Amino acid sequence: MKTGLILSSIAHVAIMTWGVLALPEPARLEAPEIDALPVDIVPFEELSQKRVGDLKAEPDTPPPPEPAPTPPKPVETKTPVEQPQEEPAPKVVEATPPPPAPEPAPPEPIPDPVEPEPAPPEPEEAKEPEVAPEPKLDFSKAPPPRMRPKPPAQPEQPKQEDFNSDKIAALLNKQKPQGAAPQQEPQQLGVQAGDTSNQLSQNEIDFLRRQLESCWSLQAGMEAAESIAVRVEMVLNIDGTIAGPPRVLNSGAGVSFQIASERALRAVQACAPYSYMPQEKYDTWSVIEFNFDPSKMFQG
Amino acid sequence: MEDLGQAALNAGANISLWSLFLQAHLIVKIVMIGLVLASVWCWAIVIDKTILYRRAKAQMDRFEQVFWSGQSLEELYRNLSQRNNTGSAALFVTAMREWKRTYEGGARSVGGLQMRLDKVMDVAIAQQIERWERRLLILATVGSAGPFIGLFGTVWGIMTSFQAIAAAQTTNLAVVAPGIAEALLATALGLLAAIPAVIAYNKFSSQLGRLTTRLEGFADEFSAILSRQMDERA
Repeated sequence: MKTGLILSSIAHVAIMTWGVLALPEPARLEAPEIDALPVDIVPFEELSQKRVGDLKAEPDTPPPPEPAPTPPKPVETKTPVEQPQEEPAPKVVEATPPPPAPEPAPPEPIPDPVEPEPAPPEPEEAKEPEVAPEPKLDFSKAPPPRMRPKPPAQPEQPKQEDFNSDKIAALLNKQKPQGAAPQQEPQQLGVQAGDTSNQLSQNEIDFLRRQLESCWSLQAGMEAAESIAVRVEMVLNIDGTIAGPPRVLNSGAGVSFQIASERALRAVQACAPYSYMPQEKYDTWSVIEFNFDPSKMFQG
Repeated sequence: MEDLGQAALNAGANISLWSLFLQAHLIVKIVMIGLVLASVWCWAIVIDKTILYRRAKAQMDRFEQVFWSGQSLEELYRNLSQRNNTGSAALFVTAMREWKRTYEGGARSVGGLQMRLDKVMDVAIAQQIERWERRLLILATVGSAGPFIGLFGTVWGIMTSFQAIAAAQTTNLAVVAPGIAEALLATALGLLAAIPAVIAYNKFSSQLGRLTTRLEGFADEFSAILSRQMDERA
């Protein structure tokens, strides 16, 4: 036993010394410097207020209208662009054999008169006329103006080429949801009048929606659910009672829409009085637009 | 926050095994030292038993070779009785002593001799086995309890680490990491002690089983030989 104990102790001391001395220190893990991500906490109210559309409200961001005019203007500019194009185009052909200096000169005045009209509104047009005179010098830049007007035509051509009956069905299927598109409207419950500072909270909106949907009896499987989404406007008194008969705002075809709209109107009346709505926010819910959308309702 | 994390980083900068041990809590240190001692003790037992079993096997081989060589049992007994015997040699000497005591003592009847021989040999076998398996249970104990002891050290160390988090009021990993590392060292030591112990225990218990079977077999054979002798003498 003695020999065993001595041998074991020696071995342990040796191994531990070796472990302490020889075992490499674990490699330091280099943590890459992480740039701090600034996170803004946006209160939900802001989002919901943004979504509530008010037709009379002034747009709070003037920039958005600016980009809008730009797409149509290129269409307007096409006509001036095309005119110089038709002119330069033959000139390019003429220009290839001889590079005459006098010829480039005349086209310059031609775009110049065109310039003053569109130029003030847009800098882009100023560029395009510049491009137009350039083709005479560079052939590589001459084609681009031709190509630019073409792209709008191109998407039409492939459609005509791909006139398979299968693809028509696919196209129709795509268009249907676009046409119906009640889902794309962000607000189900909109307010026509009232200040946005006193918004209904999302809980209150949800509660009202659930109440209305519970009052709304809809027979399942009547028709495609999207086609019978009914938008109802109702005017309420401050005590929650209905001030006047509710109106259906949208219109739909078919008997099922008639039935659905009648049911929706009945639901609005069945759910009255809406006394649980907060009176201090009466401004926001004096007029309520509600979207009875079965497709959303059945989803839960 | 930054300073705390930096301080913790500096404190945990030295992460070698020795510094981990030095930084550990007292209880964790005790656990670790205990586990190291257990490991030392286990390996001592392992070395001891290895030598013992090898020697016992060699002795039994040698004795049985002589025993079956046709040598006179009386002569063999005279040779062996002077020495300190183990294994089947000890069995042989014990049985022969009882045999001789019966016949040399001038006993009138040898009717109870067979029973006495068996008893004496049983006792000798039990003594042998007791000698062989002494301290073997320590291996089993360390093998089963070592991980738990190490785990206790780990749990204690992690507990301390979390207390350190609570005190520092920061969840920076740098605050916790050294504590957890030193705590895990306890489990590592526990496993380090337990794994060889378990393996050695299993190996030795199987060896012990083989030796015991061989010893019992020899006892039965020798008992049969002596019984034949008794019948011839009677």
